[in-house]
Amino acid sequence: MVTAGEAADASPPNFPDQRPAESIYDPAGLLGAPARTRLAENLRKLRDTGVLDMVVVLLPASLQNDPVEVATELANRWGDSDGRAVILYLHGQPQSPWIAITGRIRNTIPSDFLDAIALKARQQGSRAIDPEMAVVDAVDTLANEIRLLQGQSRGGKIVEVEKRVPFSAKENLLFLAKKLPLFAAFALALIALLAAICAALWRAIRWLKLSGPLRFPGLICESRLGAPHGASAFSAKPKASRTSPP
Amino acid sequence: MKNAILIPVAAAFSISLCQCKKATEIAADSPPSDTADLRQDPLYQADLPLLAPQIGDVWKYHVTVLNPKDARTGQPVRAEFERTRTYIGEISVGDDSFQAFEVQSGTSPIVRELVHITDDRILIAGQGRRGPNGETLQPVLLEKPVPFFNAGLHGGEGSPVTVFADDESLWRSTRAIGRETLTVPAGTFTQAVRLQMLGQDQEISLQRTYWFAPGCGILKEDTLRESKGVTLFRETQELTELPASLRNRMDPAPAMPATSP
Repeated sequence: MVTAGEAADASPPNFPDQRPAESIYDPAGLLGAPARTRLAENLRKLRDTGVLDMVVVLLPASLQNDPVEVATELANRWGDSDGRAVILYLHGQPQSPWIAITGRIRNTIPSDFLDAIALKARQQGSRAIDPEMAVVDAVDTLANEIRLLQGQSRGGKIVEVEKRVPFSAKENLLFLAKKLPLFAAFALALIALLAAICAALWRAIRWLKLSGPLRFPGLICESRLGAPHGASAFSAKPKASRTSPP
Repeated sequence: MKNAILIPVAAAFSISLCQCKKATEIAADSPPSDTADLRQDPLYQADLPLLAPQIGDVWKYHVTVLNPKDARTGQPVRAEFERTRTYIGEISVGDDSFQAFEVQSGTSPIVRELVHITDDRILIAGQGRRGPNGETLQPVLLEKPVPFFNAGLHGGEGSPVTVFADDESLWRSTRAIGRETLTVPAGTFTQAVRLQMLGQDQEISLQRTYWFAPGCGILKEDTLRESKGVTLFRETQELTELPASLRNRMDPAPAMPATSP
């Protein structure tokens, strides 16, 4: 067993020029013999059927260089098919595995799709609890997605990468559109409920007004021209000041 | 005057109930039927009938469950047991009738899988538990049956997403990866279809890869359940014994793969 501390201190290995036997490069023996046999058989089938030419690399050490760059370099060095990939697993690195897809497949399938597929396979592999499951899950996910794309393209269908949650914005809008009558009905119900509450309040206020204590109406005083009490206010004033000058 | 207040409220609620019913009916609509072209497809013809079990047919599986982190010990736990799936024919649950399988896993209670099987289609309709008197207890019926397999399915084809909740937290989608030769303890099957069912149950995601051989049934299943990116458990089951009545649909290939030169 290799610990994470040992992995961090190790120096990068010198990779062979020749493609490794059974498409698996595992110098430290991280894979058990039965797991190696199963994986090799799976890789052989995927290569023979033209799905993807994959090489799995397992290392007990971290790398000085960017793992994606290393994986890409190895894919170009060892691969001889139109579609080739390297799954690079570094023991003790939680981000493992790294995946590079190269070759003419990049001309036939848009890079965005391939990158999304590689990311999905990497996420699947990184959740595994041991190296065997990590690489098996990554290989399976990668192969499934590529086979799905190949099948879709053969069937003349629109090629679409399956998302984690397969809902597009258009589907969401369609979903909302289907629910529109339901929303309208609930809005109508809400308006009716508010109207009923308003009507009840109005009736309650009126009832309160009518059932209040009886009293005489207040006195209203209105000034009237010519009335006796208004005499002082409107009586004719002496016009001494208005006399014309001598 | 009271009536004047109640009438608009009652009317509004009755309208909303009508709309609810309408929405349910829309959701329960079945997908459009296959075209005549599909029926002419040799692959479609070769797949028929998809599954014609007889009452009492038993499929036996070897099951391995791996829990990467046990809640009590924090250590990985691995369990192995036998699972049997027995066809019990047509049963009624409520007002509906279904074809049912009884699934016995180790010492767990017997689960009934409710399905609709036609010549060219298998749909999952729900499940329940078998009661002491043979009744189906706690049935959970899907509002819209989920496609499990269709005859003539090619790699790359898939079924529409089936959504069970308005907030999209419960859904299933099935897609066919392709046809391949698969060897399991029960034998080698050259026309096994590898399918994937993806789904979500609230916060728990489902990724189920299964191999189905037309005429024979489920050969292998690999189920992964995760929550927020953490694996809850992983279960693998492989067919160890096929019902005798269905062995005539099996390929004449040997049980073990031939050694390569």
